[in-house]
Amino acid sequence: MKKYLNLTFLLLSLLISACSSQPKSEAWLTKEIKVNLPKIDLNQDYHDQQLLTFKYNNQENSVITVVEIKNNQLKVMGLSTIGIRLFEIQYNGSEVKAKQYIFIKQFPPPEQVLSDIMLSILPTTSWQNVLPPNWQLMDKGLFRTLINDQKQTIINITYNKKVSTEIRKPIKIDHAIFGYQITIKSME
Amino acid sequence: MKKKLVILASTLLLTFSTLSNAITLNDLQQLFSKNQVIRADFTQDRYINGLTSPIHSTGKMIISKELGLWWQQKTPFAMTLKMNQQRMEQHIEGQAAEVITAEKQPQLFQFNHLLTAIFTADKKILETNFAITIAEQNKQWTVTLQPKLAPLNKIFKSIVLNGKSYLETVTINDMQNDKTELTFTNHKTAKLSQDEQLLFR
Repeated sequence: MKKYLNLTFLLLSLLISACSSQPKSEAWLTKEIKVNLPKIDLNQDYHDQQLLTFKYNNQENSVITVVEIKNNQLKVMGLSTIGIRLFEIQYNGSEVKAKQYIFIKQFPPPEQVLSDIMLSILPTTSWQNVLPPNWQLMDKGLFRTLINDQKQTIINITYNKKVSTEIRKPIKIDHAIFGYQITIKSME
Repeated sequence: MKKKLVILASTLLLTFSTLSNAITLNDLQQLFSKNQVIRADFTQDRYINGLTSPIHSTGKMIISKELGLWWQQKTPFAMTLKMNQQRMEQHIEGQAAEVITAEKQPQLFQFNHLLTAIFTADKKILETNFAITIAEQNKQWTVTLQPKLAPLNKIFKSIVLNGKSYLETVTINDMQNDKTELTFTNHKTAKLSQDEQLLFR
């Protein structure tokens, strides 16, 4: 049954015992540029449950992510496609707490997932405060683009809705520098 | 089979008139191995500790003694799992299938044998690995498996199986306080059609 797999992955989680880390609240935008994550200052809560497919070097891997923002505290839970915990990230505006239960090859580190999610759902103004000089995060139609000081596209995010006061749910994130693509299918 | 069970139960009752748990692991082993094929619809709710709502999925499955397991999730996204003694394959719609073999992952497969034991109620394997409690009320039985040995006892608190003529629900309580509830309905036991046999390929 499906449980066979569920359980085998649980066994895996034993073999690779859960490790906790407390990385700084920073994110790499390119191989050289690192920024502090912005504070979350939203007047609304957010919840999304999604199937996230990460494509890199022609390899695809899917995880279920549950993203919750409550009182400006962000929580991201990563689960395997059959519901086994993979990682958990919490960000309270100053500190990131990440817990990785199972390591998956070909998948970006949880902190990278966190910054991609924050790039997609926080208002551009929150990011503008922490970006390097002359970098820009811009909304246009169904797209949001991060551009560096050389006017090169770093990250391109696609939504299925235009900008409004509601937080938009992303459907695709392209990272031009790291060369990966994340497609997001809402499960709600 | 029901008849057999009733006879067995009656005999037991005659023999030990004070015995209240009429169904034994032996009976369940017979009950579980009666059918060559079982098809059922399933719903699964996975309650993750710390998340407000469960992850809900639905679909259908076929277990064949000969060919193994075919598990097709339809919602919230399409995914098919196939599993037999040698091979596991997972296929998410729109992506390449992912194959895990016994040679590559021997531990996973050893573990699978144990799990197969759960679904066939294999007495010997179950008794070695779990403390087993069987209760019965109005022919509805509940089997509670509590792992005795590592690594199972580090993963699960308990696995609870419930059913009557077939396995109807499975509840998995694990050590992280996550819980999985599986419900099987619409059981059918007719022989596999040719089309169905192809699903296992």
